[in-house]
Amino acid sequence: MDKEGASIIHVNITDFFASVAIAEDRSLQEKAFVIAYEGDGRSVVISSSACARREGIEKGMYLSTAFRMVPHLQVIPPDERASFVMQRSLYEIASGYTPAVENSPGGHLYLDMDGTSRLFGPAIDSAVLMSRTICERLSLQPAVAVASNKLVAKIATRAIRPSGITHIPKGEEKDFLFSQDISLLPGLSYANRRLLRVAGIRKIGTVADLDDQQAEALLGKNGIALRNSARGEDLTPVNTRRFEERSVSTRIDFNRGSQRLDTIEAALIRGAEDIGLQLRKESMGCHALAITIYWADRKVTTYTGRSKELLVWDDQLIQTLKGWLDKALSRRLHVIAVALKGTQLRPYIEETELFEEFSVTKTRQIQKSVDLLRLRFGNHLVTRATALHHG
Amino acid sequence: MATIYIGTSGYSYTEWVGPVYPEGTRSCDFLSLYSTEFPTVELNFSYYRMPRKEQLQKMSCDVPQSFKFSIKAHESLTHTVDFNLWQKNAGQFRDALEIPADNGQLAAVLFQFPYSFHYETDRRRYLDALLREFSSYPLAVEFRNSKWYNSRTIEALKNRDIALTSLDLPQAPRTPPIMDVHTSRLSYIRLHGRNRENWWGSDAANRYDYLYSTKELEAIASRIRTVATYSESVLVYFNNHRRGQAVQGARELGKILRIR
Repeated sequence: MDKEGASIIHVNITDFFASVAIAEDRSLQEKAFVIAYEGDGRSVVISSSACARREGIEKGMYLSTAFRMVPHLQVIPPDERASFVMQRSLYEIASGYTPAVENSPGGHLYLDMDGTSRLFGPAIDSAVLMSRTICERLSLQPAVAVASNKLVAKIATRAIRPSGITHIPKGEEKDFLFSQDISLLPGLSYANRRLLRVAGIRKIGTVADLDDQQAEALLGKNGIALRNSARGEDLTPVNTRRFEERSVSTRIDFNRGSQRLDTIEAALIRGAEDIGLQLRKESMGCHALAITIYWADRKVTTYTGRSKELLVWDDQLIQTLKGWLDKALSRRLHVIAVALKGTQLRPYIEETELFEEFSVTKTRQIQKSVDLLRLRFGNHLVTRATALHHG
Repeated sequence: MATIYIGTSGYSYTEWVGPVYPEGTRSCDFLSLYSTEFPTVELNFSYYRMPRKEQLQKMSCDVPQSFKFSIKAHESLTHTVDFNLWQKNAGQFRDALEIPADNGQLAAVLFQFPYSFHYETDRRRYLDALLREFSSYPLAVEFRNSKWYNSRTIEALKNRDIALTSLDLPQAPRTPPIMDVHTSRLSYIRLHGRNRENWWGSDAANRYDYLYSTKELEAIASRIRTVATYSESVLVYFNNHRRGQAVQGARELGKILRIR
């Protein structure tokens, strides 16, 4: 952290997918449109244009509801390729200011500007220049905030969105957060938001003032963490690894070596659940999976496969891995461990915020509920019955 | 694209004779001389003394018709508010605004609130009533208390077409956030200098003793260009008035932005 003051910059392209669509086709600028997959009666709005927002259409809303509100609403499917290219361009612009850039899906970047003041002056000046460059080169209007940590910077961009620049001086975090709307606090589940509303709590500052007991009583096990967030406490570093360099992995060891296919498949399912959760936590999917088999004779073999489809959900991962297992089991020997590694990570387009009330299918809804339980109580609290086989 | 006006906060400083005005210039000629170089000024005498119609009438005659005044609200409306008397003071202040407003020379009325003006219910109600009183004029508000810089304030200003003043100041403790957001057709930017050492615990002269470097002005120019994309007019005032440094900054910024 910069001794001189706040040095974390957050760049947030509000309604990223709609903004990308406008950048690609300027005629959409003044149109009411949403980004969504059409066809399914339960489709939801992924992102909406400013005009559509003015009509009351929000992210996560059922498409059928949106149509009732704006009958002439235009629906555009998400352009994953254009979004990926735009995200990469954002990353390249940011990398011109510091090597410490975290590329987060959905048009978010975090920059650690510590030590760059000799080159570029105070972080706010870099933020201003970068914002201007993004605007000129990519035709995107970002919300940009400079603060002493990622959390405060994120709340600040939410406060000023859809666009603008802000700088929260070091030491002013508490006062700045005090009167912000509670809905701007990251990590607040839909249930907690509703609970706070019922309790008449509308400001972040009210949550910040809770003591440990009050926080837990009101907000459950995550209460203290949420209260600390409301106080602007965040030590999370800027993760500088690029999507392409990131990976997720897990390893399942057997108590005794096994040659049984059902046991190995069970391990594969357990592993798929592990890496699936890691991916979804980061709003990522992977295009490549490696299955590494540890054999009883201490030899190790790896099979790597590539999927055209972005693998995000457990059922997708399990199906794919099962399909490749034959190729990975190249020897007739006991297996003592199986390791999985997901690479070629890409952001995936979430139809609605993770753990929010809306979902597209029942499977996804169940998956999200299970994720929530796993994140709260541990990875293996809930698992598929078939995954219990591996001993 | 917006029209950008660059000027200084105040023009009547005797210490500017020499660095800004030619030696021997009389104080009654400061404004007309100033207006030959800059298209706008932020009047801050109106904060210390309640302005009178005749004063503003005279000033209006001293400058070209196209010249723009931004007028800082009297302290009785922002710093030393008497909740029983404020409407009378507001009436007096509004009377004085008539001349520049009728002449098309009123660019904005600036309400600058001190750190002690907290984000509390009674203050919010007062602010709402005050802004209603002046709703027929272009308005800008500046807060020094960080608690005002929240999404509700931004939304409320947007609904009333009132500018949230953008600031440039040093990264010192207890300074408000810098925030450039689109709340109005008008954008109002005040540049206070970056004298971190003297920001607290010194007099106004030392606090505003700062000369912006070219690099800093280039970053400020970028802010202005961005703000100009969503505004109809942008008012920029240099408040680092010590030894005429505000004028130096305004001249250089004008060159960077290629405007007068």
